[in-house]
Amino acid sequence: MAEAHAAHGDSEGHHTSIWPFVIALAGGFGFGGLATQFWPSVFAGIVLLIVGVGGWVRQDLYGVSFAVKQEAEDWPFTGISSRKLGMWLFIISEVFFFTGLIAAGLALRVRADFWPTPGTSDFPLNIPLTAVNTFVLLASSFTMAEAVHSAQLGKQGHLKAFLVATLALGAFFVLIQIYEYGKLFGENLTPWPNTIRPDLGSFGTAFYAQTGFHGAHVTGGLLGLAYLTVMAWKGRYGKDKSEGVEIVGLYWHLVDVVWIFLFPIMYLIGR
Amino acid sequence: METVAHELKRPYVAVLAFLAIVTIIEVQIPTLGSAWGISHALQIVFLIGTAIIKAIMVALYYMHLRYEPRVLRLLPAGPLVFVALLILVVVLD
Repeated sequence: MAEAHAAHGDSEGHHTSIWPFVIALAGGFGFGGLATQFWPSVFAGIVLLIVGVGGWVRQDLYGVSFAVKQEAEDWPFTGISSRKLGMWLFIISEVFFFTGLIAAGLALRVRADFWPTPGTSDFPLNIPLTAVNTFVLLASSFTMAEAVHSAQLGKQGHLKAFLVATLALGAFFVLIQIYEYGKLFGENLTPWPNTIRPDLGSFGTAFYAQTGFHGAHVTGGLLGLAYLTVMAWKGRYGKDKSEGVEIVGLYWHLVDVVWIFLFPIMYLIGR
Repeated sequence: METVAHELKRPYVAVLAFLAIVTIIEVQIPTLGSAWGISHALQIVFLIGTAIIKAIMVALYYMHLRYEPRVLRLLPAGPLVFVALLILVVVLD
């Protein structure tokens, strides 16, 4: 890899590849076909996905690595860390994803025959419990910010303590959500229509789709936090090596920001 | 070392307190809204407005955008135009 790198020169061609674009096209064809139930488009998407992933892996195996090799970007992002910029671009894609999900929920809301009203006795969700859970997630963002701060100052003890606190708060959030799901299933709020409470069908679909995808993102973040915690114990991070903590932190704050919107949308706003 | 000086001044606790207080107010809206006769539209504007403010606070302070170069601060703001557009189209539909 090093030879190939040297052969290409230091600043030449690291990021140029057609394959990410091919994979994006595959997504467009595949999901477009699924949405319109046009199966040839789905088939084209699958073929493009195989070609795209195969091409990318092949290119990588034959010496053109897409691992980040330079520390900072060129114009227009002069001086900004490549890894940090990459995470911000990923965050933007996540914002689009959740916006689509929220917009779909909104479309369901305005078309549904019935939508429960928060603050009334027949509202199925537990607002006080989820308000506590919201505090937990907000607090986890605080401890994560403190963890990044500690890493930047080289305070190893504080870094470990704040990472463990963030991990614990995040795990608590997911456990409460699992508990709530179990209780709601028992009360016949399901992601699909059911015969006992058919009126809650649209609400259930919107609720589980939005909070479920968010919960999956929190769970993914917990894996990242667990990795950071193990690495922190091994002394991987310090004053000049804190970027890993900062980048996982950015992702963690993203799941907090998404919840800041999902909580009022699903729990506090009626139709 | 200027970065470290910035680090020391970051108001993380104050931001957490702000987020918590705003959330406590938000949670009261479903009950207080009907008791005080606040219109549904106004409740929605208030709740989405406070969510936007909370998200900006997290982005500025916890995600450190306030301390980042201008170009990185503008980067996440650009796509928000499309986000607003998508929501607007759904609402109008």
